[in-house]
Amino acid sequence: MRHSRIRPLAALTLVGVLTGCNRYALFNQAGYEQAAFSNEADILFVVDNSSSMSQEAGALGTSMDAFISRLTSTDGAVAVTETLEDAVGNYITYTQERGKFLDYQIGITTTTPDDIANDGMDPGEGGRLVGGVIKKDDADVAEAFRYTMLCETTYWPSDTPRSNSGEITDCSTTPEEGVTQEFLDCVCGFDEWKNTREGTGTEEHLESALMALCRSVPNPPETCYDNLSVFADSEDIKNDDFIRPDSTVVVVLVTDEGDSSRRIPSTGTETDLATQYLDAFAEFDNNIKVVGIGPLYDPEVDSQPRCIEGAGFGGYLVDRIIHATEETGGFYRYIVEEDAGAGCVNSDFSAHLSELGGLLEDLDTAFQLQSIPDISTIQVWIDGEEVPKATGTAQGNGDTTYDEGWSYDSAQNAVVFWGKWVPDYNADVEIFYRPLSDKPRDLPPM
Amino acid sequence: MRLAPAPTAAAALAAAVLGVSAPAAAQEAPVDVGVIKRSDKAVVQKLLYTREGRTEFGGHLGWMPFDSYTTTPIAGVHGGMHFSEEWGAEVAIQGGYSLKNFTYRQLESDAYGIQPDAYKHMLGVVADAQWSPIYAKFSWRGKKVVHHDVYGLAGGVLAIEQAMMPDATTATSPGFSLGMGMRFYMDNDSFIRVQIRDDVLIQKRVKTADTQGTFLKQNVALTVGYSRLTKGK
Repeated sequence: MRHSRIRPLAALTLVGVLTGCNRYALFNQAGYEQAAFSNEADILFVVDNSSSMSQEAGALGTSMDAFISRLTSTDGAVAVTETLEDAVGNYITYTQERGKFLDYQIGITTTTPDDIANDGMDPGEGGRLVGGVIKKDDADVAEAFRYTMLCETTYWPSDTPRSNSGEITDCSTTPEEGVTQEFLDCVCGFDEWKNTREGTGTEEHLESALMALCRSVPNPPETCYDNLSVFADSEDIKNDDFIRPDSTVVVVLVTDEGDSSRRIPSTGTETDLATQYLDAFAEFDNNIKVVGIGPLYDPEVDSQPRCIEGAGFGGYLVDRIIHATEETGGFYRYIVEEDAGAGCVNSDFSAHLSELGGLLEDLDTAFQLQSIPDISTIQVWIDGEEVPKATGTAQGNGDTTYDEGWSYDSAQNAVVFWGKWVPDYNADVEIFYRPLSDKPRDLPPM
Repeated sequence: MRLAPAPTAAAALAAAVLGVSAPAAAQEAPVDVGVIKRSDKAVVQKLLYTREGRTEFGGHLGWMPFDSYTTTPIAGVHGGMHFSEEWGAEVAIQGGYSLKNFTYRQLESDAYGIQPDAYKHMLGVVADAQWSPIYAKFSWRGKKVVHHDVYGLAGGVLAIEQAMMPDATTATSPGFSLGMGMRFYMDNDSFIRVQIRDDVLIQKRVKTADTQGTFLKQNVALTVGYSRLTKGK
C-alpha cells in the first residue's frame, strides 16, 4: 500500500526535476550600432590665439577649401531618385562617397579657458564659440570659416606683414606671401581684424575643449562643474546646442604649444597624460575624437619640440595631446615642418583638413568582443541580415586578405567586416558567440 | 410488514405455554466459506461509461511551462481507438509557439547580454499506446457522481522546433513520450481529459556542432482536452 503511493509521487518528482535539466549553450550577445560614425559630425576647432600662432592660424583659415571639397554638400548628397537606375546610382554613391552625406557643423573656440580680462566671458574664452555655429548648408562654409578664423579668432600682432602693394579687392585667393594686412582688410573689412584679442600664453587646449563641450549640450555632465573649471560660474553662457545628440564630435586642437590644462597634475613626467580629460569626455553621450595639429615633436626621438619660437617647453606637454588623439582614434600632425632649404615652414593644412574629412568618412570595420569566443559559434547580423564568414587567403608577406563578409581577428579580439558587409551608418550590428570561458558573469537565478 | 395469520400465532403461543420447544438438532449448521483472500477480490460493478470498440476524436489546449528559458502555449487535435476498456492507441498533433520567459528576457538585457540557444516549439506529432487500469467515481459535493479513469501513455514523438536566436535554425527532433492523465466522463459519448506528457527529444543544434551538437530536451506539456466517442456496440 505504501509503495503504491510513493511511486506516482516519485514519478512526478522525477518529471519535475528532469524538466529543469534542459541544457542550452549560452551565447554572448554583442550589440553595436554603426553610430560610432553617425552621419552627423560636430567639429570643434580649439585654436591657439596666442601671438605666435597668427600665421599658422591664418594658414588654417585659408585652407578650409580642402576640407569642404572633400565633404562637399552639393555634389551627390542631394539624391534624385526617379528611376531604379537613380536609386542604384545613389546607393553606389552613398557607399563609395559617404562623406558627401555627412551632416557636419563647425564651431571655433580658443585655448583661453578663462575670462582673462575680467570683463565678462568674451567669445573664444572659457569654451565660448567664436562667431556662432557654421553649418553645412550655410551659403559658403569655407568663406564663413575663413572669416571666423581670420577676423574673429586669430590674434594679429602689430607686426603682421604688409605687402604695400595696394588694396586687395579680390580676397578669394590667399596672397603667395601668406596672410597680409591688406588681405585681412579685404576679408574682414578695413582694420576690423585688429579687434581680436591676444589669448593666454598658457594654453589649455583640453580644458578649453571641455568647456566648449559643456556649453554645447543641453544637460552638461557632472564633470563640467568641477571646481577647477569656470563653467559652474558661467553656465548660463551657451553655445547654441552646438553638439547634437548622437553626433560624432571631433575636437581639433590647433597649436604650436604644449597643453597646460589645469586638471592634469603637473609633475613633469610622462605620467602627466590626458587621462583626466579623456574621462571627462567619456561623460558625454557623444563619441568624441581628438585630432591634434601641434608642435613638431616625436616622443620617440625628441625631448622637446623643434621649430618653436621663443623659449622651449617640455615634450611631455605635447604628449598629452598625442595621448588624447591616440586614445580616441584621432590623429596627430605637425603644424610646422623642417624644410632643408627654408628652415621651419608651415605644414600643408589642406592635407590635414582633408585627412580630417577622411576620418569622418571612415567607418568602424572592427567590433571588439567582450570575451574570447569559440570562433565556430560566431554569428553576425547586420540589420537582421546574416553576414557570411569571409574566406581568407594567405599572402606571401604573412598577411591574410579576405573576400566579403566577416572574419575574427584574435589580436584585437574583434569581428572585422570586409567588402560590402562593412556596416553602413546607423546599421545595427549583432554578434553572437559562445565564450570559451563559459559564463562571462554570474547568471540570474532561474 | 405482514402479520402472521391468527391461528398460527395462537398455536405457537399454546406450544410455548405447554413447554413444548423445537428440537436444537433441527437447526442447519453454518457454512464455513473459508478466508477471503486479496486474490479473491474482483470488480463487482459494471462500468457505466465504456470505450471498448469506440473511436475517440477531440482537441486540447495546453502549456509547456517548465523550460528554463521559454514558456509555450500549445493547441492540438487527437484521435484514437480504444481496443478494450484498458487499452487504446492514439495519434495527436499539436502546434505551439514558444515565448521568451522572464529569465530569457533578463539574460538578453543589456545587463547580461546573453542569448541562450533555446529552441521554440513549433509542431509535434505523437503516436502512443494508452493503458487505463483504473476506473472510479467520486461524489462531487454530494450532488453528482463523477465517473473517471486514470491512464498512462507511452509512444514516439517527432517535434519540429526552431532556434530563438536570429539564425532561426530548424531542428526536427525524434524522441519518446511518456505521460499520464484522467478522463472525466460527461456522458456516455464525451469526456474531459487532463493530461501531463513528457516528450523526451534528441535535438541536434547546429550552432554548437563543433563542441556539442546533440542535446537531450524535454517538453513537458500540461493539457486539457475535450473528446467525443463514436457510438458503441
